[in-house]
Amino acid sequence: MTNRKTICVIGSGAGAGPIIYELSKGGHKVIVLEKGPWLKTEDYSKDEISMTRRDVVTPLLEDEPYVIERQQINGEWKSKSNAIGGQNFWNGSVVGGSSNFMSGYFHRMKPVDFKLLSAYGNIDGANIVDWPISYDDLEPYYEKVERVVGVSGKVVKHKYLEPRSTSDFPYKPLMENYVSSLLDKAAANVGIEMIPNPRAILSSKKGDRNPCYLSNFCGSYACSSDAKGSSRAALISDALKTGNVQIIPKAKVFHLETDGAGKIIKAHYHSEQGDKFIEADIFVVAAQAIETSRLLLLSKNADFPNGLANNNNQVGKNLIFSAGGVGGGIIDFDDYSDKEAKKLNEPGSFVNRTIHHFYEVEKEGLKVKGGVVDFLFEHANPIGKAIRNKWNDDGTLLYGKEFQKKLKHYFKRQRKIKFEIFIDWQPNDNCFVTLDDEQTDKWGDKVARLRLQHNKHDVAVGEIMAQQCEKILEEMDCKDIYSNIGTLPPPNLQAGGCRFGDNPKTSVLDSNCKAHDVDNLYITDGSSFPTGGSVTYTWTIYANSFRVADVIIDRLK
Amino acid sequence: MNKINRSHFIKTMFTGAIALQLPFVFSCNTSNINGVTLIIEDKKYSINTIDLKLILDILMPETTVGPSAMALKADVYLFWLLADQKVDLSRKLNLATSIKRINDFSDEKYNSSLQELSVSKLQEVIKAVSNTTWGETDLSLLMTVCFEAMFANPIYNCNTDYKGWKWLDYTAGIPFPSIKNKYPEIMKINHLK
Repeated sequence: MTNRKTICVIGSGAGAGPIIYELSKGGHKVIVLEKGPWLKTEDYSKDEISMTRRDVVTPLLEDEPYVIERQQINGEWKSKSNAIGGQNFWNGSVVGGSSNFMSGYFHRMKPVDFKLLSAYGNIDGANIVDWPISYDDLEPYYEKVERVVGVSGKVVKHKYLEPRSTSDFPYKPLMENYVSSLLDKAAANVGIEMIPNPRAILSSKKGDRNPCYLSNFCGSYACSSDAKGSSRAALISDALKTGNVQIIPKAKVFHLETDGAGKIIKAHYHSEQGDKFIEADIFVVAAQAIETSRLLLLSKNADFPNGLANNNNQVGKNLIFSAGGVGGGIIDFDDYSDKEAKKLNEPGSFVNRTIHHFYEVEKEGLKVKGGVVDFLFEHANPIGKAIRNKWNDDGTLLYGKEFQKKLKHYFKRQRKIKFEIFIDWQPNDNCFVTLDDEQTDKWGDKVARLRLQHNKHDVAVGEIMAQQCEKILEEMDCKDIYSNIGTLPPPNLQAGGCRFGDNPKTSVLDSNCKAHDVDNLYITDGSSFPTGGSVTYTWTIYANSFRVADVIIDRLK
Repeated sequence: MNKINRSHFIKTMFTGAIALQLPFVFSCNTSNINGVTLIIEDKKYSINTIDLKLILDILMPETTVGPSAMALKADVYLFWLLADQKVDLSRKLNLATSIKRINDFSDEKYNSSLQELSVSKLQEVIKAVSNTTWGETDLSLLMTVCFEAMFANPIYNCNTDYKGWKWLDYTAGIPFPSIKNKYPEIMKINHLK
């Protein structure tokens, strides 16, 4: 190929994978700078100690903290470093990023999610805007993700089914637990439409990747058969076969240097061998929303005194998360035959049920945007289960023989079914990323300072949905039914900070996710999303990154 | 600029005539050792292993219902955890001081050290400790140590003979961690191509 260019990709998760895959297959040289180490499938196990009880795949907070600002009851904003504890916003600092550890509950955004302002108007305290692209622009790429990354499931018609260019998913549904049929029946009895949940997990072999072997340890763990569609297993592995990809692990990019004419020439990074840099023609940043904004803000120079691509002070603004909450109830085996109890307690098989029925709900007499609900069993991690069981109902500590009795019953005579509610997190003026003036990381670089605030509208919508979901569990005669709509942002579901849009004064990126002010900078993680939809972001991040990959390939022709 | 102090270090040695390295803990029976001295952040902390055993036997005793914390080697696991530089410092400091704090409480409120108490009186003291804010935190942290010892893969020198897993018919995920990729060895893995 005569016009072979060098692409530097910062990050290797879901936003980076499609770029690495497509550009390398297009014959270009792709250099990947990943801040974490390179672990391969054989390096991971289902070890609760290393994967959930220690900081193996995320940095120590004392080395790489954030400063978090929250509003106090008196209205004042108070900031605190999480260096010695606090909410951790790092997710999967390894090759493949946090996609290694996702559960792979995959939902497309729906057409209305691309035009929320037009469809529903603004919400008090929110900065809602329509996306600069439509669902139709992204649909071919959603379909591509189904094929290339691999999505299993079954399409059923329902009120909010998004338009599809294919009739069904390319991979058949995963093995389901008996509880799925109980959920279907209970939901139907209370008039709620329950549908199968697509997953980014292979139910049959795809190239070198083996199908799911029902390990029972999916979320928080890397997949040992490569069935899960992580960026590493599904995209980077194939990309490496082209011979066009160089992965540089443990390379923490801290500065993007420009040439004085609005073009990046070097990505400077910290490594164990000292500071180094990479030169390239195109730079793609996909470091997850918070770190992407931080890198741009750290990359100040004479041309960009406020940070790269930040001459209109938009970088870091309108950070969003996935709002919502959780609920659940206990399936008491005493209410079932031994045969049924055995089926319910079977490890490995999936629940895979979701509700889109509440994508629009009524609030105070008005139609408002709702969201989706995924049903699942409580995570199999036993240490986590034991920790949650060490308290009496009155909040006092339970120990000794009485604790042992409770734990034994919990493990042997019941199983917890849960639901997770996903709704829009309203972008707002008090949810953003800046740099902290005092706190630095282990390299001496300023850390991200996060101001975090939710919108009470989101809590109200979540509670409407939770009440309906509780009815399903009541219909199943579950015990100890509960739900809780949170106000804290889920650290693993972050987006925004570098909005894309047509107006350079109110957005960082254009509709192709190229920085308005920087000719060769693209951002392909969730940073570009002005709103997040009421689904987990990964499928849309993958799809949008495939779309941008096509844009870059066309540009380089 | 506020640079984080990264000079945490910890040394472990047994009180008495000989100073020993941490790996020894894994190979020994702590019942014949009555004290462990830890150095965390340049400060010394002593843990009386007999007091520790007494407390763990109340929190998770050997009963007809389930195995004891000691049978799962929760004490050995605790020392391994305290020696780990990657474990949250506040958690370590709380655990490192908890045993002495509970014994001091017994001395102050019951005019007797833990080791001098009858079993029923010991139960009473632990109950009283759990009713204080600090005590509830201490005991809760110790219980979490017991849970990790109960459910960790035996490659971590606890959960002896899979007692924790067998007790609850727990099916662990496959593959198990190996010597090469268990914690903390997994943190040394980094393929270059």
